[in-house]
Amino acid sequence: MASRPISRKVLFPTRVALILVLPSLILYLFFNIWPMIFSIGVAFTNADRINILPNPEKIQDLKNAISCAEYLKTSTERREKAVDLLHRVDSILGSLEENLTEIKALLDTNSSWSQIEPYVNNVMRLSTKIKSIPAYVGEVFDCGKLGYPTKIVLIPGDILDKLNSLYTISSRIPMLYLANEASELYKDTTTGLNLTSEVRGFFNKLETNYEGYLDEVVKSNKEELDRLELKYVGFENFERLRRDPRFYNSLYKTLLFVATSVPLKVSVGVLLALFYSTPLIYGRKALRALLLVPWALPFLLSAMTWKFLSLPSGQMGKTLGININVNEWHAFLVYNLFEAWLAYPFIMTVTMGALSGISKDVIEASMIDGAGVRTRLFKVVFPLIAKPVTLAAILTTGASLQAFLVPLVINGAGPTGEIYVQGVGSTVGPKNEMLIVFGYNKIMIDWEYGYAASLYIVVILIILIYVSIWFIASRKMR
Amino acid sequence: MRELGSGSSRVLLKIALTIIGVFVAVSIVYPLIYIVAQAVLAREEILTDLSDLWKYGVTLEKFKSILSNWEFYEALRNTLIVAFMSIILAVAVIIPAAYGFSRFEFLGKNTMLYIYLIVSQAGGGFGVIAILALYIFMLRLSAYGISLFHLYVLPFIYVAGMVPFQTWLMKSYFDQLPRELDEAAFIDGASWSDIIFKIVLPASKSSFIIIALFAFMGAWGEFIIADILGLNTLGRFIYRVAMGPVGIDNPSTYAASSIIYAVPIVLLFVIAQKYIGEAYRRGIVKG
Repeated sequence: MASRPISRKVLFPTRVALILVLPSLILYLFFNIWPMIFSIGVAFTNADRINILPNPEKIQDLKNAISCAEYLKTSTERREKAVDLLHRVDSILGSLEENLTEIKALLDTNSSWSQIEPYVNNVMRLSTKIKSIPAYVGEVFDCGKLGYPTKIVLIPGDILDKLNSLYTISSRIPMLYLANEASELYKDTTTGLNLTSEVRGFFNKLETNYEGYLDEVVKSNKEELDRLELKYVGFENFERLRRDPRFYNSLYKTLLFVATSVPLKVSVGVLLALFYSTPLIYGRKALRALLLVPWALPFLLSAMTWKFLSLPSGQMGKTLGININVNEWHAFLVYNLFEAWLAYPFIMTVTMGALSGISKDVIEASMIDGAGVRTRLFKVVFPLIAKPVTLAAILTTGASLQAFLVPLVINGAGPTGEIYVQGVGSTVGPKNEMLIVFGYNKIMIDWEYGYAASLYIVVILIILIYVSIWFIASRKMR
Repeated sequence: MRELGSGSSRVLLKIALTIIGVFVAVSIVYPLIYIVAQAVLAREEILTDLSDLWKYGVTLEKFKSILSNWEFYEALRNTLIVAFMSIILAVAVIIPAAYGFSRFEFLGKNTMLYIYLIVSQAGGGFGVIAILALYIFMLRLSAYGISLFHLYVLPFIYVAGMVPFQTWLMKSYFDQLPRELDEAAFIDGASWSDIIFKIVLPASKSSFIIIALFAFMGAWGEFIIADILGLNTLGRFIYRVAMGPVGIDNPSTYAASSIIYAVPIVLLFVIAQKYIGEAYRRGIVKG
């Protein structure tokens, strides 16, 4: 047998091994391991719905707008053109303001209708000029012509809107005059005056502080660009986690769920196994098979059944008088029952396996000895099933620790309400959110990917602590 | 305890215990009775008591009506596509890998097996976290114009998730196949493809059945991954529509849809129990 290692190498070459193993390895690494590593990186960023999937066109638009504004600021030729335009705009708006002021004054003093006419005519003439202002402005600030195509307009949209309403008003004033609508005319004149002064204010600022204005444009676009780009934020997400009442609540609810559901499902499973292995029941094999039903059903059918049963209008909801949509502890009770129902077949099967290992002689011997049922249980049965049941209990603890689907399907880990954690603060959220549900909600509902990833790092650490306990325990028991 | 031996009182005790036993067993599986009763209830109302069946009557109409629902049909078709792709992929990827892990020595083999063991024993949390991480990664990929949000990607994700547990399972299966089989063939001068296709594969037919069963049941029963990725499978339909507001408003119709959905799984479970039991007995236990 000394030649064995050599012959193995020859017989089973590494090359063939790689061909055999590689596809599964690639699949597993790409779809499981790599995303986990990737999300560790994400935990240190501000990833959210906007910056995880930025629109490349929008980014280009913003970048072009910034370069465009910077060019406009530095080019003297452009600057002269702009100042020229601003003068023109200001003179148009200035004379509009004068005429409107006159009309308003005349209306205020109840002067004769015909006295207003010249000013109205002036407004009419000005209206066509006003109409052309946005186009002028567009031409001067046209980034596309300068080689920076962008959908972003450097002049704020509300100013352009105001110019448009000014045009509407100034073309309506002559009609109102002709129709003798004094009160309407007065109203329009007043709004027109307000708009004019606002728009003039803006253009004046732009004229006197041309560079300052463009600087502001650059700044606001840079901020927008910043929001679209994924950024490294260090430990900010973890810091936030430390201050989040929802995190503490979910940790508490998870641990509580472990503390309540594990004893429940283990004891139910063990008791059923003990009860249905007494030879004193007719047809116990059939009954045991029946008890495996929860195992055979797909999870979704069980989930739907338990959801319907526990609705306030369902049978269990009515019988127990519980409302899982209002009372968090009612919902928590249902999670426990559902989890126990799902998991007892596993515990039962393990216990049953251990019991079948107990030889009939042992039990018979203890019967002849006259050992009572209780002594027999404690002295004979329990020591024999203790090991496998403990291992199974540890395994099923993992399921409770990572409870996700159970609270999610029953009522979305609700009800939603105020979550108060002493010393941390209060917030609103689903009250029965377990750790994994918390991360799921952060990703699927709040789109806070970076934050959720940082939570999941903490969860994975918790799971790893559990796994090492499991590992040490199973080593010791072997 | 001595009187246990005497005839009539023992029979009486047995009858009493049997009655208790039947009562307990029936009340534990009551949820199944409840959902079936809900599905045959002639009224669209949440069942509050089995006596409702007498009050409102019983019908099989709901099964007919859900079968003529196009949404249900489309979801069913998608699930069949995903399930069969998963079977093919799982057989093609996991069986060779398990054989490799069983027979060959290579760098990192034991590390990989350890990782697989831990992951398959740690519970479902790892899987959920990995899927959500994958979702974020896929979103990021879409920013670069690569969209993986597609029905045909789902089988790859499912099979990737199956890799740790199934590789272990199959490896322990191959470990039991006599190694002399391959060695003898090799000494006879057979090539590697001959050994794999003519000797190993024919000798491991039942491993195909196990993998195919697990792949089918996994793909059929899964819903949360499909839901996260927004892919319309039957599981997702049950989760979103049947268990959502629409389902609660028409509980009988949608209970019928869930029962139809459950039938293949239950049948396969019964058929496959032998294999599944074997899988669990091999010491790789899934909580």
